[in-house]
Amino acid sequence: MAAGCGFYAGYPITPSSEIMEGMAELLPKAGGAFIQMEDEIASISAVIGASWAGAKAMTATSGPGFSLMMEGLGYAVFTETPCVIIDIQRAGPCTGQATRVGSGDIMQSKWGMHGDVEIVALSPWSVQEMYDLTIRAFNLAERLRLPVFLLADEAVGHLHETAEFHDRFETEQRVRGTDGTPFGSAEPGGVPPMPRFGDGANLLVTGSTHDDRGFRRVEEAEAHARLVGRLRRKVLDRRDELVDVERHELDDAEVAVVAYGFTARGALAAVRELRGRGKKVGLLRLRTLWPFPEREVAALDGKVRAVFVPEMNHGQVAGEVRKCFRGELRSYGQTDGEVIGVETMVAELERMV
Amino acid sequence: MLTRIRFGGLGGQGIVMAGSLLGEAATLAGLHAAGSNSYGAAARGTACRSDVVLSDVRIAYPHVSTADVLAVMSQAALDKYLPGLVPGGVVFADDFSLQRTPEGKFAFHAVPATHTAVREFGSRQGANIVLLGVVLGATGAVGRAAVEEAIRHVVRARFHETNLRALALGFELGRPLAAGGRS
Repeated sequence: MAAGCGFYAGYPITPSSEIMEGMAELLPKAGGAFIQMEDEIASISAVIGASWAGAKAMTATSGPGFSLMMEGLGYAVFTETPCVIIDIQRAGPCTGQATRVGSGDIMQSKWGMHGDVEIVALSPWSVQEMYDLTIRAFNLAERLRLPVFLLADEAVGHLHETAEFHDRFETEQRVRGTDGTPFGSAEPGGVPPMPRFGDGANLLVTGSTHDDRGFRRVEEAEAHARLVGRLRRKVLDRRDELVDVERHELDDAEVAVVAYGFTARGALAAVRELRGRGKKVGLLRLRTLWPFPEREVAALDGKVRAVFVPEMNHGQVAGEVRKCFRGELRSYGQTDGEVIGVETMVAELERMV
Repeated sequence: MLTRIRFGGLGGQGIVMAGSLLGEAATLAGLHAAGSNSYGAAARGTACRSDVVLSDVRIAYPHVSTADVLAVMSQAALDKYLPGLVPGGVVFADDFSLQRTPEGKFAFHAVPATHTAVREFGSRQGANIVLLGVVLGATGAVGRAAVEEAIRHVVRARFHETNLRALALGFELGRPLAAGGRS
């Protein structure tokens, strides 16, 4: 709401329901609209519709709901519809364990939609960052005309802690415009202005391949290549502003942990404990997961001897790290519905330094 | 100052409520607080845990790996969480569900939380708040006034009187335990 969200549609699912409860109570009082839909397919569809009606729109869900949203999310990417999706990841696959933690949706957020898409996914590790990164997600969604994901995990989603709801940020305002080409740009990675329904732009919005004006072009090779190419480049050309990492104790580190989400917070505690015993370990914390921080990981190559990648899945990010880092890589996957303990990470790291 | 307090019991006993009130009270008292809960998909009857970390500086790691204080309302929770207590830690166990008194390097207090609630209110409801009062009366982790304010914030108005009374009874039971040792 601080970011300007005016519409929420969703279907309750543990461990994300608290977000929906909060929006149900607060959003209508602030002049926004809240609606509980019949399922997650309808929820993402309502969010897309609200966005085209001019609202900053969001939903929140967890694994099973995220799976149902995939078709709609592909539509949002292809129609360049700004929206924010918070996925509070729980232990999957399938219904799994509703109240337990997991982090198994990293690849799904990038590859769950068919076709080649580029999206943006952020990874918070605290209550403060649930606030700060949700605002950032809205800003990026509006700037890029793109669904932006906040890939939190249950440990962060259900965390209670001291946080400050400040107003020290800018909010991105949507560039509206009715120049007749809401789906085209002269720039290969450009973001066209977005009219809303009712602005008089003779708006056509379709999930089929379309030209600059929105007309279906389902048999022209060039039209498809150009559109898919621009949708990729509008993310990849901006990777420097999108990629956000934190470096802790890396200057003289021999072994680096690469971690994200709640796991990174435990990893930092493990790094500090080992530093206290004189072990040269550090942490590269990924606050952006997509686009993947390839350069930042590659920069570890030659600087540290080995990397350790603890995750609440079986190596989804470790595989991406492998593509950028040629030294020793130790992937540690834990999927028992519990967070990876600090003592576990200390023990694993001790075997490496 | 860093204090890690773990409440354990069964869903429906108010374990999460006890942790929430403590976290809220700590924040009102000007401390940094972090809380996390573990519970089953069922609303009642499954194992349930509420962890609270209190500190006068920002909390780096918000979970409880090892607890300084353990407060339990079921034998199963006592058995499960005792190994995660720091050496020299303190245990408060509701004597209503206590089947065995544990031995080890910790201070152990069996306290009549449920018995007090049943005697005073004619119901087990409120036992969690009695236990919270015991923990705070004995440890002094957060002052009573802040918890009273938290109750007024968090709990529905028609339950204020019962909860405030339960808290007061808990503090009375807890204060004599402040020196440590067994009881």
